[in-house]
Amino acid sequence: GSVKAAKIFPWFGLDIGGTLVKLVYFEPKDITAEEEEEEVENLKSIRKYLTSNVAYGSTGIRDVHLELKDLTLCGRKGNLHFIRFPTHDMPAFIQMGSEKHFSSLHTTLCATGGGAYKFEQDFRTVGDLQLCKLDELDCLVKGVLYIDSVGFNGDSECYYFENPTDSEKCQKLPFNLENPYPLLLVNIGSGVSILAVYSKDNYKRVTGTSLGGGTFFGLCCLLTGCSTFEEALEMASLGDSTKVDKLVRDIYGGDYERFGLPGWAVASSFGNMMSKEKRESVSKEDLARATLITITNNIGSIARMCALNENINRVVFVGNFLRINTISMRLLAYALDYWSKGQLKALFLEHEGYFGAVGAFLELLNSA
Amino acid sequence: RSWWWGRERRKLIVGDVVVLLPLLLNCCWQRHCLQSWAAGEWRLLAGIPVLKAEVPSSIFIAPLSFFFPPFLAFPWFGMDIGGTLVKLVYFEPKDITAEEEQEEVENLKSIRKYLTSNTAYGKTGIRDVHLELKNLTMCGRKGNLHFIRFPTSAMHRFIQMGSEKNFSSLHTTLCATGGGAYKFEEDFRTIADLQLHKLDELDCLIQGLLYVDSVGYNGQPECYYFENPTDPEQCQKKPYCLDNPYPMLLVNIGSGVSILAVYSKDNYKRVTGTSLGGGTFLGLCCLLTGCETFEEALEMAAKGDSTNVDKLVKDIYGGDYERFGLQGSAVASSFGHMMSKEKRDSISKEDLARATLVTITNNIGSIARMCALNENIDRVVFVGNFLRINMISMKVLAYAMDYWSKGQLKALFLEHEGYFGAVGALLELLKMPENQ
Repeated sequence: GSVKAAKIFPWFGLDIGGTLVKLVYFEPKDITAEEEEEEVENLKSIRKYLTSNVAYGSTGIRDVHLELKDLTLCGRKGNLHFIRFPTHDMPAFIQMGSEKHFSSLHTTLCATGGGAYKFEQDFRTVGDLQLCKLDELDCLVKGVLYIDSVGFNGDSECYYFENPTDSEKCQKLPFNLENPYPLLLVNIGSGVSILAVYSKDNYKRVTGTSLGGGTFFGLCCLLTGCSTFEEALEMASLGDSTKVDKLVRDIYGGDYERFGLPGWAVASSFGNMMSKEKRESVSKEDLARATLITITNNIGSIARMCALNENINRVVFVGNFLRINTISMRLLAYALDYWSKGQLKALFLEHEGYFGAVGAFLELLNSA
Repeated sequence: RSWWWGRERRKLIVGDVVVLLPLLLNCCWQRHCLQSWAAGEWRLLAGIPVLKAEVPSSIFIAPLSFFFPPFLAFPWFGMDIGGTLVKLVYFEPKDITAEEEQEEVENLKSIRKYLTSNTAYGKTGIRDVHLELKNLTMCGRKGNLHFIRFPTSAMHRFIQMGSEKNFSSLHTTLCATGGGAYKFEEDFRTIADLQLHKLDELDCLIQGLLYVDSVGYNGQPECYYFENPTDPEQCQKKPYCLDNPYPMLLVNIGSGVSILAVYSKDNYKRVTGTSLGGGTFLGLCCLLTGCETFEEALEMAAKGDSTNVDKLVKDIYGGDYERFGLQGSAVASSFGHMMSKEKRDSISKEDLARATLVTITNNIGSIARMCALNENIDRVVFVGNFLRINMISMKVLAYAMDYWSKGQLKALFLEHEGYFGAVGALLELLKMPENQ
């Protein structure tokens, strides 16, 4: 059998997005003494560097809690690691690849995301590396299906929220995605893509919106002076968006009953901010919260329209906008349920923004 | 049981019929008369309005009409109290007879003169003179229709003024729509002693739109579209005939947005809405640029470059994202560059204003397009005061509708933009059998 004439290590999958680079790395745990002897120096150093650290340089992070243990892939046993760093540091990454003579390893580097195209030439000229470019949505779909099938170290990869707006009763519950089709997949990165997935090889990109995670983050930086996603979310968690937004009750004095719009619904996002008085009375936290709510609700609304149009009742939200962002997840869960009168269900996945990279990784293993 | 069929009750029933039947008949007659009157089929006979077709029998009817003349008291207003602006339409009669003028009460005359001799009222009221509809015939009267607006934040002053001018003594009905008709109802009653007749804003929007389109704009078409919207040299505003308007998708962009699918003049549904509307644009602009008015915000936007602020497909892909037909120039992430301090320091307020405008506009266009697709409608009419003096947004919408639908959808616009709700409220007033 030619399984042994298998892929050369290291095994990576790379997703170079608009804001973040997502890297998945397979660490073999079944290396024989023989193999270890033959292992070239730079390959060993890569393995040790990646697995002994959780932070790389000043911006690289390994999400240890997401590590998938004891996976068997292409006859090898090992752990799958999930690493991310800002796309802004891509040149430094390529430089490092060059310095560590990554190209001498003759491995294929499978990459997806816009950056696989944008940085292709830099990889070649600076790092002497030929990228194998893959479509980001193909990889996304394959990655989602694979991770869900192997599960999350025995736990469920997929979950939903019960009682999302009740802070006491809100519960995260596992969801069985065994019969996933059809499925609406909403990928919220810098921007948003919405896909209707009918089977593992049959999906279409329904639409997208440019009001995504990048919008939330960019607007927050402008409005509040924050500089990281974590800061922005922290501010949002402390704010009150109803001071910033104009609600139905601000216009109607109550509900707009005729069309079923409750008084608490937002009629005009940031609508109170045309008044100087109100501008002076809101805090940065209120502004951060309003930005989060506005972007999240808009995505939810568009997703709902697509689900209706495509006749699909399960909507899976992925992408790094949802990383550590329980506010948005619960809001999406609530909004989808409320506005669809219980017809639609919002689902989430633990590995949020890494599916593209996983898909690229799988493509590496598939290629002859 | 014995009471039910008893003599007492029979007497009561007979008594009721004797008294009520004539009144019922007269009411039916009055209603019939008013409908003819609204259609302009009346003429005056001995100073009394009678149906043209019924002149012979009018001698018989005239006495009844004398006691119940179906005349609607002036002034005739339609009011739409929105989230940001109050829209007021006022019918100025131009066919007032000497007799009528003599009888006209003082405060009615002063209202008429105040409104028609000024184009600005107080600090914030404005009459859009260019929108005035001349020589209209409404309910048998000839006159001009005026279009006035002021911020909803000045509503209390307006009510106060109504109280000071003793508007309530005119015993006219004030037809009002928009959320404010509900929110300010009590204030109208307690401060100005005025009972509002509340109407639904979307009903009024549609009726108003159909009416204004049917009468035309002083001989010009009310409805138009843009040819070559993205070519500054070739872009042309062209008239569009809305004679067969159905089905149509109506996108009303005020503080927020409502999207309606209109199948006939009495059959429509609210498909959806979005809270990212005109109020969002103005609110965000004020926060990001320090501007204070809609006009300032638009002026800044006209000078800015949103591509410095937005992350485009080419910023991520290095070019087009061909697989899914996304051009490099398409926006991938609105405000996506603003997470970088370096970029934040390099852009101007004008760039931010432009990016805000383009972001809100494109989002509305995108949602409208999805609705049009869902509802199988290919004409999308955009109205609402977000589009007032906002050529940039109109062209962006025109282009987006055409481009993303590969030419299947057409974006249409109307000259009287944000006033249709108020017109609809006025029309509702004119349907009322009001007794003097």
